[in-house]
Amino acid sequence: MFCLAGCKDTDNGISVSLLADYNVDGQAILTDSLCYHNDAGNAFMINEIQWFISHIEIKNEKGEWLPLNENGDIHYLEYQPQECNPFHWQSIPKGQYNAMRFTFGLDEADNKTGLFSNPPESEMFWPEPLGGGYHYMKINGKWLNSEGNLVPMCIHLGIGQNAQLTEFYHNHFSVEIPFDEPIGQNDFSLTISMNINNWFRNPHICDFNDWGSGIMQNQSAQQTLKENGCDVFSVSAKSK
Amino acid sequence: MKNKWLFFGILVLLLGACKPEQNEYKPTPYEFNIPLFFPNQTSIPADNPMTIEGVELGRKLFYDPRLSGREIPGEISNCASCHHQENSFEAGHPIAEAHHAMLPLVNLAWNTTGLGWNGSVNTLEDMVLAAVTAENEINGDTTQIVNYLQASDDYPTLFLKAFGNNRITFKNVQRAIAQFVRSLVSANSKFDQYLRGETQLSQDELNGYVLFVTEEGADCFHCHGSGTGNALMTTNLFYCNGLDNTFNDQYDRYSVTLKSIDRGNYKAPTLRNIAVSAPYMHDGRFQTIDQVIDFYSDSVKYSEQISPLMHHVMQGGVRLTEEEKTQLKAFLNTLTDEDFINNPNYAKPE
Repeated sequence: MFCLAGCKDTDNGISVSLLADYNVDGQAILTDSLCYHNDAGNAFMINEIQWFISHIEIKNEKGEWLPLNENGDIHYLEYQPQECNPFHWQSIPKGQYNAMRFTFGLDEADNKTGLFSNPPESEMFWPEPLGGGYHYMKINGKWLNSEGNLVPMCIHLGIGQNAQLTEFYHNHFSVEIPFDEPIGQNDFSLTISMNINNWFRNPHICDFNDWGSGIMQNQSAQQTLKENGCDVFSVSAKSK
Repeated sequence: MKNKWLFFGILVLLLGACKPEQNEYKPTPYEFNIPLFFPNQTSIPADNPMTIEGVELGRKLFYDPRLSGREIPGEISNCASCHHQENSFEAGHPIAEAHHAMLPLVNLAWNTTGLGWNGSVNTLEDMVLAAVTAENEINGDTTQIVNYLQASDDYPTLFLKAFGNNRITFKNVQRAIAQFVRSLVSANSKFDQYLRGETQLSQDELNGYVLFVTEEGADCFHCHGSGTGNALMTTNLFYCNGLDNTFNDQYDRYSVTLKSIDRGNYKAPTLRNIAVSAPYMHDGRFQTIDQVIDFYSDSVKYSEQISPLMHHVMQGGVRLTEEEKTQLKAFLNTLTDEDFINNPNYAKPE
C-alpha cells in the first residue's frame, strides 16, 4: 500500500514551467527610458513588448519531440516589470530532455481572425485587409531619428502583404534551442530570453531611419526581422 | 383547549403579518447576450448581478428628476439631463460645468480599464455616486435623495423587487443605475450587419474601412479596433494622440498614474455611434467628424509624450486625400446603430 502510494508520484511524472525574460544585450528592460542603442547606432526606448509563442515542445534522449500543450498550443506573453506567473505543465514523463523548440508567432493553421475573444490576446488582432489573424509580436517604443527627434517605433510582426494587398506572406518561424545539459529527472523550469537588439543585427543590421515608424505594410522589413530572428532567443533550463 | 388553539391561531397570523418583506425577493436574472465578435468576458461585478427588476429600476432612476433630491429640480437633475439616447447617451454638446466633454454610455459592460477620459473611476457604481454628488454635475445630497425616494409612492416597492429590501439605500441606487447602464449595448450598426453577412457596404464605405485598418492608410485600428478583431471599436486604453504639444490639464491620465509618460494621455473613446456623439476629443474641441479627420490627417502635433502608435506624427498626420477623407467618413457613418439610439428599452419609461 505504502509502495503504491509512493510509486504514484513517479507515475505522474514531473512538472515543467516556462518564463519569459527580456533584455537588450544583457541590459535589463527599463521602459520609457532612452537607454539602448542598436548596431546601426540608433538610440531607442521600449514601452511595451507583447508576443505569441506557440507549439512548444521538448526533445528527449530518443530524439522524440514532446508537445507541452496541456493548456493549449498558443500562449500570449508580455513584458512585465515584476516576474509574472509562468506557464506550467504537469505529468511530463521523466527523461533526459536536451532541447526545446517553438513557433515564434502563429502558423497558418492557427492564425485565424476571431481565435481570441478577450484582451489582451484579442487586442493583438491583425486587420483582415492585411492578412487577418493576429500580430506575432508588438514592440512599441521610440527612437531618436537622424534629425534628433524622438519618434514612434513600432516593431509589429505578422502576416506580410504585397502593395496591392492581394498576396500574403506568413512570417512566423520555428526556433530550436539545445539545452546546455540534459534535464528532466526532476521538475524543471525553462526561461526563454529575448534579446531585443538581436532582432536588428544578424544577419541584417537594421537602421530605423530606413524603415520609419511602422512596418506592418513593409514585407521587406518583416522578412528582415524574420531572418534576424534566428538568434533572438536563448533558453535556460534549470532543475527545481 | 379552545383558548389554546385560538392562541396558536393568532400566533400564526401574527407571524405571518410580521413576515419580513425580504422573503419576497425573487429577482429575475437579466439575460445579457454577448453579440458576435464581442469579448465574452464582461466587467459585471459579482456583487451586483443584473436582474430585470434592477435594470428597470435603474432606468427609472436614470431618467427621474427626483434623483437630484430637490423639490424643484435644477438644470441638471438626473443622468438623462446630459446623457441623451439620441447621442449614444452622450450630451451632444459641450457641458460648460464639466472638466471634460462627455463620453458616451455604450457597451460599458465590457470596460475594464476605469471610466472617464482618465480612467480615474473604477466602476459604474462609483461613477453614479461621483456624478450624483459632484457640484458641477447633479449636485445632489445622498441622504436627501434617499429620503426623497423613500417617501415616494413607487420607489420602496421597486427597490424591494430589485434588491429585496424596501428600505432604500444610496448603495442600491448606485447598483440599479449601474445595471441599467450595463444594459446599454450597441451591436447592430450597418458595419455590424456587414460583419454578420447581412448587408453590403458601399464602395466608399469599404474603402474607408480599409483605410481605417491599415497602417499606411488612416491607421485608426490600433486604438479603435476593427470589428472582427475588436468589436468595441476601442481598446479602452489611454493614449496621447497629438492634439497638443504641451500639457497642463490637471485631469489627464497622469493625474491618475503620476507617470510622466501619461501626460496628455486620454482614453480612446469608442467610435460606435460617433456620428451622433459630437463634440469630439476630451475637451470637445471638434464639432464635426470632418474636423476630426482633418486633424488626424494634417494637424497632429509632436511631443515626447506622443503615443508610439501615432506613426505619422512627423508628417503631421496620415495625409489623406480629400477622396480618402470622404471614404473614411463614409465608413465611420456605418458605425451608427439606429436600433440603439431608438431602442424603447433604453428610453425614458412611461
